Amino acid sequence: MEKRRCHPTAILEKTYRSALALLAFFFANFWGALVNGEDGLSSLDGKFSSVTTVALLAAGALLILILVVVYQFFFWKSAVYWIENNMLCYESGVFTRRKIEMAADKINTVDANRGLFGILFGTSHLKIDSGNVTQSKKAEFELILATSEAFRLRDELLARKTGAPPAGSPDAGNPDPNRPAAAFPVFRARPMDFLKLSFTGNRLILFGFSLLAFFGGLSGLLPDRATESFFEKLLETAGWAAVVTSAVLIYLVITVLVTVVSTFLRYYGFAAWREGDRLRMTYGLIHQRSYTFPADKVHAVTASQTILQRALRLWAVEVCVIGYGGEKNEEAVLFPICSREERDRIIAALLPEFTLLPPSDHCKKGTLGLFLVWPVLWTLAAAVPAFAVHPLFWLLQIFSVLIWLSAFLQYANTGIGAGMNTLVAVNGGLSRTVTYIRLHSVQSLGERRGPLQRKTGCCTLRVDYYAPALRSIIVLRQLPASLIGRYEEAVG
Amino acid sequence: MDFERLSRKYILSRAIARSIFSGIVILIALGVFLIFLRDTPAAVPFLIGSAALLLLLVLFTFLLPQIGYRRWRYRITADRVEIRRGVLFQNYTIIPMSRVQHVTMTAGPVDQRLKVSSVEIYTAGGQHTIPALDAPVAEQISGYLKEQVNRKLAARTESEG
Repeated sequence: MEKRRCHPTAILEKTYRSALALLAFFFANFWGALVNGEDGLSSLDGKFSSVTTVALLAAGALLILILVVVYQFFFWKSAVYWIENNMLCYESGVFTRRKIEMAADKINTVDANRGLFGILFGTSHLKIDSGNVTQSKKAEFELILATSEAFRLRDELLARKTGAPPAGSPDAGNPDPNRPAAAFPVFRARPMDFLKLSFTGNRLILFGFSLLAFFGGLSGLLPDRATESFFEKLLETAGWAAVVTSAVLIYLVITVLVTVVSTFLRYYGFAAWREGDRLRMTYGLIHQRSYTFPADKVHAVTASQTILQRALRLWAVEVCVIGYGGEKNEEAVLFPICSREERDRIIAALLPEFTLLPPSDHCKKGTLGLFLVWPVLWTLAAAVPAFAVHPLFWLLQIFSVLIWLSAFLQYANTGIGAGMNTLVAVNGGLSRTVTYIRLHSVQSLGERRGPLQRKTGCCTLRVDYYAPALRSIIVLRQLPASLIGRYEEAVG
Repeated sequence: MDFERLSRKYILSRAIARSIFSGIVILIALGVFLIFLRDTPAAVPFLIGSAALLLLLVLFTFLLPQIGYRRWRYRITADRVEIRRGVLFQNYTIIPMSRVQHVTMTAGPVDQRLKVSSVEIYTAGGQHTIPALDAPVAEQISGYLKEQVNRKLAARTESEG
């Protein structure tokens, strides 16, 4: 294969990203010079007039933009990729040349994603990962290519890895690599699922807190006198009750709307299916993601539920594959939300290699006290000085009750079991997680026993498994001592 | 096969390394006292607190390595590596031999002077260390583990090819 360059619009996209960061840095440093005067516009330490200051800032910003464009042009010109002797090679660098070579059989995941730039210019980001857990969380290769070329290269690489014909070739079962063939069972998310996910996931709470923080920051930026007079007038005309009720309602409506819309945009058109030995997932409305990876690279499947999802018997299912879901804002989703029956059906159809067995060993009876001892002690130790500061701080005991409830649920949830090829571990308190791990992906088992545990004959079992994070450990507390030997035999 | 102990030099090695840390903490506390607190009402409470800290540092520097040495055990068999350690919280780790990816030997300046090395065992999930082994023992363990890794690789290549 001859050496090829990325799509020319890569210059534009990378310029946009770099320039945005640099301009933010530039204005963050010089903004003070522009607005610290009493008349709004000021001068740089009084040396220049307001107009000159603005002109200097504009010239600086323009210079940065030009430099970024020039750099990105030469970077694009220097960057080439090619396939040679079953190796994907990539060479780039303006000042320092860097060459990466990756054997096709070492490829772990290949993702083709497109954002707004991609939709406008018909390009996709092709991310290729070898599954090296010691590297940074960024993909080892990220090429911006015309969408057709990105899909062609993706399928060629996966075909070279597995020896199977490329998905788009006449020999392949599926003539269109971007859509599942009729022969494969496809699991799609329905609009109702987006609503369920919006209302029961952590996004709603997270966004609610971010919105509060945003309003807090905004009130800090506004002049005190202006905000005070605004609120005084508002309270005079509408009254306390109406203002507070409206504020809470507006806050709730914004939070719910933004969460629902963002969830819808993120998971729009979610489809997961299996083609032979590969798993495929596509989703996203504006940022369109398409992931492909060999099923044998899935080291674990995690089914989790928040407290609300638990009440509604809903589950979120994720997979543990090196290179999928490791990057910022990425989740390794197998299916965003489903019922327990759907969960089992999805895992059985997409990853039949995993045995869905219940845990056979649970917390030792009579160890509830060990779960509760520290949460109760800590919360009471925090409550006494808080009460001394102000009696109203007793209200914070609501959180203590939640912490105690979480400890109790940890006692009820914790369990472990092993089948022919899968180890299952259940843990968590208010949020419960069930992890199915391939036995050969378990890297080590550890047992930890504190003084109280030694007295009661139990231990904390730690299961260390192959995962995108350099060290992924499942901690299972208060299990009967001596289980480690049995599970070590199962793990082999 | 019984569990093996570390080299007795583990105690000295840890004591020296922790003495350096304790020395820095003491110097900082002394500096804070002399510069900011000498002639203030906070001087006495600070000195009482420092005395308690000093006691803890002495325990941490000289007593804990002794107890830690007695608790530290390891066993390497054909199919697994086992590690037992910990004073208050006792840890027991099993690493199946088939999960060992690579092995390295390290020795810091203190360990080099004492002629001891640590063997670091890497799996795809993380890293485990057997510290302060006499250099020949560390060489022997490292060689054995590498041999096992190579044997595993050869077996895999054979089965794939």
